[in-house]
Amino acid sequence: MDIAAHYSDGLSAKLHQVKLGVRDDIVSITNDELSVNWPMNSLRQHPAPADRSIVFGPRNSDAFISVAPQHTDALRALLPVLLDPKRQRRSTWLLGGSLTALAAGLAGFMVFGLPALSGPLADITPLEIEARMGAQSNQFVSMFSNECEASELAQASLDELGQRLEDVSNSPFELKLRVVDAGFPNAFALPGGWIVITDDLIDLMETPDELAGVLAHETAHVSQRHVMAGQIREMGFGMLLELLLGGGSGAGQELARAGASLESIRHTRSAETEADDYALQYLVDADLDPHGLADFFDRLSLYIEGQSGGETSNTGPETGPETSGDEPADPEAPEESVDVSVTAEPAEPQSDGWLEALLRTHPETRARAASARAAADAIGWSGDPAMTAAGWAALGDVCTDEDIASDQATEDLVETVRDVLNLGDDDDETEETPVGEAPD
Amino acid sequence: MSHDDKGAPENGVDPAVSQEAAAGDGIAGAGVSTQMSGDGGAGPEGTATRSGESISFEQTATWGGVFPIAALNALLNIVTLTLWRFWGRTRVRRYMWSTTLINGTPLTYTGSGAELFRSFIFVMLLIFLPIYGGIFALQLYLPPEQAMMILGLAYIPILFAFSWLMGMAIWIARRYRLSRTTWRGIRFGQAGSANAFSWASIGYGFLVAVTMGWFEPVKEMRLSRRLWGETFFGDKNFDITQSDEGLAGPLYPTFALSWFAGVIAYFAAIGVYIAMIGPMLEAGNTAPTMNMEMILKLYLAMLVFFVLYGFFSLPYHAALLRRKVAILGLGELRFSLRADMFSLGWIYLVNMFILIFTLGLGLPIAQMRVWRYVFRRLEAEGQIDIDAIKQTADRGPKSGEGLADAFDIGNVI
Repeated sequence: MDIAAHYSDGLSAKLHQVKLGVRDDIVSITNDELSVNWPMNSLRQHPAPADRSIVFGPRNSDAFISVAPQHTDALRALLPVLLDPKRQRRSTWLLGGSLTALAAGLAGFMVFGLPALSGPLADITPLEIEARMGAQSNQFVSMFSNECEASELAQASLDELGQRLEDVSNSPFELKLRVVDAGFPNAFALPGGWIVITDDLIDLMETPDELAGVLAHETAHVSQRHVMAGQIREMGFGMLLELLLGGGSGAGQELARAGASLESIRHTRSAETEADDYALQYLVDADLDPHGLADFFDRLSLYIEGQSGGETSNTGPETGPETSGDEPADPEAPEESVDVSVTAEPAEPQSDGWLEALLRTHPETRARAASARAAADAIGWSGDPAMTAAGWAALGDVCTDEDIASDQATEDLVETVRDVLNLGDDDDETEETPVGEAPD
Repeated sequence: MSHDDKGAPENGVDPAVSQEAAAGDGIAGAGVSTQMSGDGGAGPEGTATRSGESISFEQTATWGGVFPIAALNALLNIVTLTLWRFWGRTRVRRYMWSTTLINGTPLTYTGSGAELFRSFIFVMLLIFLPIYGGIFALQLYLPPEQAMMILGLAYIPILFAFSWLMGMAIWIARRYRLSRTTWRGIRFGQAGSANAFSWASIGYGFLVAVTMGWFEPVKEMRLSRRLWGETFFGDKNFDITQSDEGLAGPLYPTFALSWFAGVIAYFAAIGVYIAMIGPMLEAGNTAPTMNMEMILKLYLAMLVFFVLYGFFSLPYHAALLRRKVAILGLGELRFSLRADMFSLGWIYLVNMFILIFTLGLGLPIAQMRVWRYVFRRLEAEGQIDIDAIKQTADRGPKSGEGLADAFDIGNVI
């Protein structure tokens, strides 16, 4: 039986009207002027065009046969193997399956392999490299915050506290503590032993023992090289992710990025818990108040509740700026703070829904306070404060005398407008700048 | 390879045969055309003489046809963490090409997802990884001040290098797409040099900046001429029927409209914004809670800009499309496109809503609408001896448009 078809020889643009027949595994194409024979096993079916006609031809050749939809049933009967519809479907499934497996493998590596590797990799990272990264991050911090002139006494008290923690923590780096002016309470460790404390955090605390608790926590991040591990993880993660997504900006790609940041938050939290445990040990070893950390967490909880209730109830002068909760998880500055801070959570007043729990970079503050207190209760302490009253007072004066408050609102406005105008270029910037700081 | 060799002798019969057929065409030509196209194509072909046929375009893509493809792609992109995108894009193109009929015969897209994927991996590993690795190493091994200084000094050259790569990407991707497009088994192709194209677009871009935009039409037309002047169908080169002078001249009335509309729209938007926030500022109300409202108003002002400017640049966009097509020739064929501001504006407007409401997943549908718009309004005058067009030996690049993909400009049709 012969079937009407169109034949292109792949050599000229002429389209030949032909008859197609099949005999003994040979497909023969004929009309008045030409006769072509194709061995069946040299043929492959082309992807189906939109009109459902069937196209096939020899592999590695531009020649092909096209059979109109009304003749395809007859053709299928002639070439059941070549045109087996299951074949194409099977190859689609195979492809989809392999790609899914590949994606799952990559994702698995990013979620489990990379974090598992990041600790050991951090441990073998040469100290000088981390120190260099730290020096650089430190410069970045200076770019984004106002340096405060700490009095000699204040810096000396801070340094002494740092020295005590350094001694007990076996930190591979010398601890370098500095206070910066920022409109939110925060403390974070940078690579290479830098620990940055904001003036608002110091203002929030009432005793130097609380500060010692916070610093012990950050010291743990330094000595356990959490910061470096975080950097390695983030870097590897970012690189693989971009490799996977190809810098694209489609909906699927954005979705994958969102998933990735959730993943990074999960790991940050486990490092936080570990740091809390080490912090307690350091406090004990350095003969500092083991309740310092718990006290500070309590105060932080109060602060957060004051924050979220701030709209309705006047919580007094202590209620300062509204913190943008994801500040430490800022994607713009991965090398700046690897989210190891003891910062305020973006806590909602009552609801502690799954979303909040999911997005929290740190363990829930109240729970942290409770467990820190329970552990501290079992421990003795000589009762000596972490620093002298004079030193503590001097520290409290750092960054207080500038008259920034009055210009703050205007500055914010300018900043916001600028950010919106810059939209698209670097919208990360909006996260960098805490929007909506009110004067104290 | 062996198949190719095996196939060759059998095909070897054909050239002679088809030559013969072309020579004794009268009967064969008519025979082909009447049977080949039951739909309308028969008319003009029936009158075809030995020297040629006229050409007509048809585009039969539908929402119903492209939607299942887009939906499956969306699903698989999620499951494969977007790795499917190369194959997905290939499917969309296959559909678009095969619904584009020239004298009743569809175009065929012969590219594959594997080619795109391979090319993407190459580009990522060979170009982008070394670049980022280099920058990172620089930061690590140099003292911060020095690294910052070097990066600062290198900023302009890096920017330059990236725009150069971008130009390369556009050209390379175009060559790939053309080489994977066939009609009646004959490939399209792109000759010339990616490097030359890239430098030309950097140079023209500079002139656009210097002239505050007024060079734009010339840039567009010259780049288009450069690309199409080196585009082939089989062994036949497209020609540009217009000399350098006056290439972009006819575009200037509509361009001037769009340029001035842009300036006016800019000031109008600022005016609207000030009018909206003026009372707030006077009241000294700059509390943080008002920021949201201010941002909203800023968006509103920006909307004023885009609507005004967008509307008044439509005539230019339509004119540019028409002009790019009007300077094209292939043998005796001359092309024209019936594009006007309202029909084009409608395409853009609906596409914008499609993209917004599908969060970008409807991109294939939006692309289909543009593609369909062009081919439904494309006309060719004159005649061409189709049967005399021969295949080129140039099979095009082995793999696809990784560079373009890396710049996120690969997903074009």
